[in-house]
Amino acid sequence: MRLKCCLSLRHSFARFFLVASCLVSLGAQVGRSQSSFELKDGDRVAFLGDTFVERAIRYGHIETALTARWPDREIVFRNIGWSGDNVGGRARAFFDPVDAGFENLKNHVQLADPSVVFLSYGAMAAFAGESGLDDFIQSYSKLIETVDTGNRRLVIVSPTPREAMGHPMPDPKAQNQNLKFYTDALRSLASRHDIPFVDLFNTLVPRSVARGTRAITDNGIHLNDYGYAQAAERIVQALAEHSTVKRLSLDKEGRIEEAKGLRASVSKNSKGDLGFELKDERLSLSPLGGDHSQNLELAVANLPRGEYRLEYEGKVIATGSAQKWKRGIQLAWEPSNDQAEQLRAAINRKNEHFFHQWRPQNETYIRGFRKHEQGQNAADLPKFDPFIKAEEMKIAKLKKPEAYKLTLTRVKGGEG
Amino acid sequence: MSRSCNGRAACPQATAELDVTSTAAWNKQPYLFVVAALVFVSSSWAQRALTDIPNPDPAYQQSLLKPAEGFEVSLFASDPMIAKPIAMSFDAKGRLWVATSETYPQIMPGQTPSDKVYRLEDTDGDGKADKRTVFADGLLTPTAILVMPEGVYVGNSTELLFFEDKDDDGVADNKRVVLSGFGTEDTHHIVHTLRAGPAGRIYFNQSIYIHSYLETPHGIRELKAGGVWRLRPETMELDVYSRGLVNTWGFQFDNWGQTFQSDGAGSEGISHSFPGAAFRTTHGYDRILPGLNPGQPKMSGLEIISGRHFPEEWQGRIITCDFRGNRINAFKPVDSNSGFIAPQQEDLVTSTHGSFRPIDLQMGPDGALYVADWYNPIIQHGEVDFRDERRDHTHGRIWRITAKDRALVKKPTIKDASVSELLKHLIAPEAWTRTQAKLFLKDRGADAVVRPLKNWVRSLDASDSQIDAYRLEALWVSLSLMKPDIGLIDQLLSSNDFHARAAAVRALEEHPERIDGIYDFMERALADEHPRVQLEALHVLRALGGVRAASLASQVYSESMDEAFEFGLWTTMKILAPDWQSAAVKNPRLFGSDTRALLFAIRSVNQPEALEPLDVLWKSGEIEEAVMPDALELLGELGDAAIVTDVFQETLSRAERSLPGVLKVLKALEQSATKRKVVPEATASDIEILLKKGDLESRIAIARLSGAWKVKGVVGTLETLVKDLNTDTKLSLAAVEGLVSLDSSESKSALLRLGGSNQPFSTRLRAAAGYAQSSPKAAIPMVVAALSDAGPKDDARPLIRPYLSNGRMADALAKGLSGITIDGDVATVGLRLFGSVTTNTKLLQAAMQKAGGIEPLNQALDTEQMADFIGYTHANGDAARGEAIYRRDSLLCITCHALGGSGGSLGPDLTSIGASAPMDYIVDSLLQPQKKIKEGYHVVSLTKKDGSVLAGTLVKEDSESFVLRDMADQRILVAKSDVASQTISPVSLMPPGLTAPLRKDELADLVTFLSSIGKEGDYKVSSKPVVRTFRYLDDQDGSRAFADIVRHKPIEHMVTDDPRFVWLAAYARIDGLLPVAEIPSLRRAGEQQYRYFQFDLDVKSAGKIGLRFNDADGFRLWSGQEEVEGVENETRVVLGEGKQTFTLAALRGDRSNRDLSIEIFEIPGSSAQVQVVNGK
Repeated sequence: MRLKCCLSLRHSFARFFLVASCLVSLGAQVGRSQSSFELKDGDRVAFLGDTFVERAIRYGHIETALTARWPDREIVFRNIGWSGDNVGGRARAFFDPVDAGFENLKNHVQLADPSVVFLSYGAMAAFAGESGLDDFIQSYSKLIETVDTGNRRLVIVSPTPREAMGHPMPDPKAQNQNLKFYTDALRSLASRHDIPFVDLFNTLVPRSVARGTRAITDNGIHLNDYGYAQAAERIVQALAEHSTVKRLSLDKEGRIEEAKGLRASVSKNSKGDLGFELKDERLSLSPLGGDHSQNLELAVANLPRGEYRLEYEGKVIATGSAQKWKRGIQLAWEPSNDQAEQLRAAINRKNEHFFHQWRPQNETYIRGFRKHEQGQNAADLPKFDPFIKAEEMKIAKLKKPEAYKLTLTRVKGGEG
Repeated sequence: MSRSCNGRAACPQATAELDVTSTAAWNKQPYLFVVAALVFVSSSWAQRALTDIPNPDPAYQQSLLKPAEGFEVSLFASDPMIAKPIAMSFDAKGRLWVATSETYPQIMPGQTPSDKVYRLEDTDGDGKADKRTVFADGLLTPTAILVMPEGVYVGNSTELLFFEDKDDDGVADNKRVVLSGFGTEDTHHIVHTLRAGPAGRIYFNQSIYIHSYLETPHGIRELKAGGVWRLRPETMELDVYSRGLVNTWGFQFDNWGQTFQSDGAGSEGISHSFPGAAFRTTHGYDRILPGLNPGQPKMSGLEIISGRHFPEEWQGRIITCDFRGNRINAFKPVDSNSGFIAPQQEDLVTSTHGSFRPIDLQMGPDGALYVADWYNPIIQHGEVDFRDERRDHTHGRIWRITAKDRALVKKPTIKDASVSELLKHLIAPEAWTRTQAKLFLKDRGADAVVRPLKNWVRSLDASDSQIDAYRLEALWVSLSLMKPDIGLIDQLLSSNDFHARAAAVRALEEHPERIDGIYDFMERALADEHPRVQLEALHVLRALGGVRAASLASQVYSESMDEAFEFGLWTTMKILAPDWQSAAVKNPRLFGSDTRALLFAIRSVNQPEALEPLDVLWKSGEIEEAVMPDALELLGELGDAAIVTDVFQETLSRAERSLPGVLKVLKALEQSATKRKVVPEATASDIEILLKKGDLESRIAIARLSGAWKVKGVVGTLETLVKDLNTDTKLSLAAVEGLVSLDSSESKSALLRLGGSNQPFSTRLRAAAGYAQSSPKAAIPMVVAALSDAGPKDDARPLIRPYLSNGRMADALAKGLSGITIDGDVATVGLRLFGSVTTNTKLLQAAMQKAGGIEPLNQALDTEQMADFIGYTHANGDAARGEAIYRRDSLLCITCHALGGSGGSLGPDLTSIGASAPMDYIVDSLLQPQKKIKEGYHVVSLTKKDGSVLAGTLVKEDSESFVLRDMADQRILVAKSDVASQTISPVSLMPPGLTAPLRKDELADLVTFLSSIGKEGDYKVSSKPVVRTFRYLDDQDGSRAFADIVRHKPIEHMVTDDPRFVWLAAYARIDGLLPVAEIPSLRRAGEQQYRYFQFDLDVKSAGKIGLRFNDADGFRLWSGQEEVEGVENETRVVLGEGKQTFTLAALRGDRSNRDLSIEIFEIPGSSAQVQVVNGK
């Protein structure tokens, strides 16, 4: 299967993706007992962690990927990440001594009321190097024991690799060494607790001039839009590996030879135009990260010589000679791409409302030590619920692929 | 009712109303007056009072802006072009970028953030913006903006964002998060005041409630309070530049790279900051830097005037906005030792328009000063509801202040200038131009700039008077390119101008480890004759670290360090402690032969583990006798049981030999016993010796200590002391305390005996209070008896206090009080203690009210009642009468609050309360003090392990102890080891019911006074250096001994520091006049009556100064103990450095009741720098 995954990508759309995908498989393989991981109908997922988790809500890729993975299941996501946080909940202490941050962390988990918790800590802890590792793993164990209340499933996500930004930004080498130690230790920790582990450190590929790959971070340590899109793929593939290939091929007789990742029917009109009625199994997440590797590849072997164009609602979305169509053309754009973007936008809006609800500004007055002055404003917080619900209803609709029609027409005068 | 009817006598209707709401009615039935008031005050007028908002027409507002002589104010931009401007930044093309927030203070549920950054342009050059572009939208409370060559930084709630606009169309085309993890616990505290530093870093501030945890490629960075961050964007190096202050909404560099900060909620005006500086509110610091203008609250923004457009005398002045008082202040920074003084100057703009809220200032490219006017009748959201309907969300103005008849500066070409043109801009008189030039030189990069820069420096005329300034600009450019020009540092360090030398040393602070020969530079800087240069060297040494750095730093120790310098050395030794501690154990003379340098270093750590080198020196007899008292004090404070026992024996021996320092060491031992539970071994006979040999204060200390140390066999001695009516009162109280601390069955029996009915009342009172602490339950009958016998002159509070920290005991005492009668005054004073109590003492409170015959009060007003009362106040209140009420002793206003820095410090300074707080807020705060509590004045409640609870404002916290200040202004030291939990409590130190004794008309007068304070007019605290805090002598409770001294000693004796004199505080009115009639006069032999006053001046630099009296007639004046001859309305005196006390004596007949004011004035040519010491 894994081998096939690599081999099936025989097109040259993006060389790095091939490399990355193979690495995904490796990463997913290492220390993995999670091949059966899935999000179930009715699951509530919490993302708990540091800046990596908090900033994910600016982009929404990870949540979008997990949402699209199980389009028929009702799954609720809550991001309770906090920039600069550590496994002890340090950044959540407000005015209290830092230890109180852990109590608040527990409250935040309680608030999200999850059945599944993604944990992601360690990027900053790794600065302490080997000497800090024991403390880190010990505190992480405490976190696991605290969060794991028996009926919760946990996932541990490793820190991301550090990227070289060039002089005068610091050389990432030493810190990557530290991150490697920490990732290895986290992998063992996960395996001791029998928790699925996602290795982003070894599977995300930092920018390489030699290989011509793109930057995944803004500043060497925090993922950018593209980096998050990559991380989303790695996470889904590591946990619930599935083929992202969507391919429809017609044989020489015009019969469906292969329909992978979608349901399809084909018709032919009197002029010889082919009509396709299609419905994807899942939304393809391209063009996340700017590539369209998950879009439909259409191969038609029975076309007479000539130039053909593929149309969607009167709009040309691909053209090619019969020969090219025979080899197969991957669509740079397909109708569900817009839907995927709408889905991501709805997820982002939902997360923003939730952010203002669970982590409101003016905490001092709303729930803190000056609540006797302005605590009446806490009445605002439940009022965010309908807005979150409304977005979740949009999400529920948008995550389901809709049927669409394409027509493949011979262009008059076309030669080839 | 006639609106013009203000005076009571001239207003029959008001008088009639008064009859209805007489004292009794107001006291016992607070709602009665409301009913009565309705008869006279139409509710429509009352409603208008609550929503009374100024006319928002810009022309009208402009007509109420009064600039200083020679200036004018014009409107640059206004709503609807912009609304709610918070921060501004000019770009290199002279366009003004403004961060605005209509969402502040809090997003509505479901609202999509839509705050904006605007770019404003004045395309036709008429001084008015005529083009607006929305640069960025969808922001949430953006409170900071800085336009740089590479893009725009915006502080946006939890994030610092960076936007690019590659096509320069004024619309952002790219956004990224630079840093995230800033706290948002209070939306007026979030990231603000983004500024470009001179050497390529950017600076930004956060305020006190913010807890930030920021991930950087160099690791996590934290700041859990107010402070200034600095960031080098190209490396993402981030650190904290300075710490503390409450709302440090202003930050700017002067021409030499020195920085100044303002504070929007502190009370110390301008602060001079430097790397590692720590101010008020810094957590965990034993020492902090004072501000330069105590008593100057509420400032936002800070800009330093520079450039050709402003008149010469305004150059270098610090401008900041008193947004509460609707005015723009000016201060003149003057070098003073290592730091500055900054006397206040005339205001640049004043206004009576209540919505004029200047909050940010920027010098423009044209040399004018631009002011962001947030425009709002409401300024706060902590105390005024987030959704208060008076809160403005739609207006906002940018004003432009120009000098009349002076040419504007031609806008320089910067963005498209060549490197050589940019270099020429480095000598521009306008700081704005120089800053932009430096930013663009950095942007062009080292390859393009380093060589031309060197050539340009070489081409400068070395004889030019400004050569140092030019070289410094070049040095800064080299630093921003990360290619520091060592040659320039060397040249500047050889300058005759200490400013240049200090700036050169500051340059080394950037990356000292990368500079060859750094220690040579350090040696030169530390040997410098100017303390600021030495202080700058300390910042470098901290950055360097290591034993060598610590031992070099200690070389600058001297006994005459100024405050900023002493802080600098203290923080250096503290931060470097891990580097020097073990080395000092090996070599106790690491810091030289003067042991005081070592004492100072150990004090900076203030932990027992730092003590060893001193112990070694002591044991080997190497400590100089002159230093012994200080050395023993420190050993006593930090030593273990063996060391403190040795210290105690040494002290005993010193007491027997009458050597100095006994009291000091005993106090240190007392602190150790409380904080650390470390006590020496001592015997009853040791105690006897000290009680015989010591001076009075030492005897007081040892009486207390004998109990704390649980010395065996001292009960009899202490009991005798209490019993003996000739024993000094304080010693007797200390002996009671000793008995309480002994906490043995013998000591309890002694207290029981002393509290017996056969003892004189004063003894009983003391013993009962002591017994109540020892055995609160058993003491109840004794306490009840003492309470019922106490008269209005007795302080019965110590009897009640032990019951307030434990709810069960309070209930027991309440039971004991049933059927008992207490004097009404005794009960009233006692009841005030309950205001700040955090335990449940309701039953006891009720029992005391009943026993004292005091009716319970519920003073809360509902909306309608409030509106009616405010209407009544508008019609009838009189501020002058209100000030007299404010000054009444019984109301405690002055005891707890300061005006212009003069008065108590338990509560916030009220200098501009009227200009900032709506009247209903003031009324609420008087009637229900716990309803709104100012930042920094919250009560901390400590539950001790024994179950008792202590409450007060937190004065200090270190690793071992808390220091609280309680309602009675007492400092309480609590060992952390005794504390089980700590909470911030929603009670106010201001007791409720303080205003209960006021009639309705009196309350209206008081409210009118409070709401006039700070507004333009008679109740604005003047910016002149006026003496506001005096001290005076009264008859000291009719003490016979004191009366004898006053009558028979020569009058010159009154200026000595006779310890028997207790000077009491007296405060000038807001107009600066001390009401002399309020001061008692004391009779001398021969029937003459004199009044005696004192005041203090802090002399930063010695020389001649002037005292300007409103009327000096009839006064004799002493400076220290020397009489000043020929006192006139303008009297000149020569003063030495340090705090100087002046004493005035006035013959009652000569001076009668004429009020007194004294103002300090400078004498041309004099070197003197003097500040008035106001305060408590």
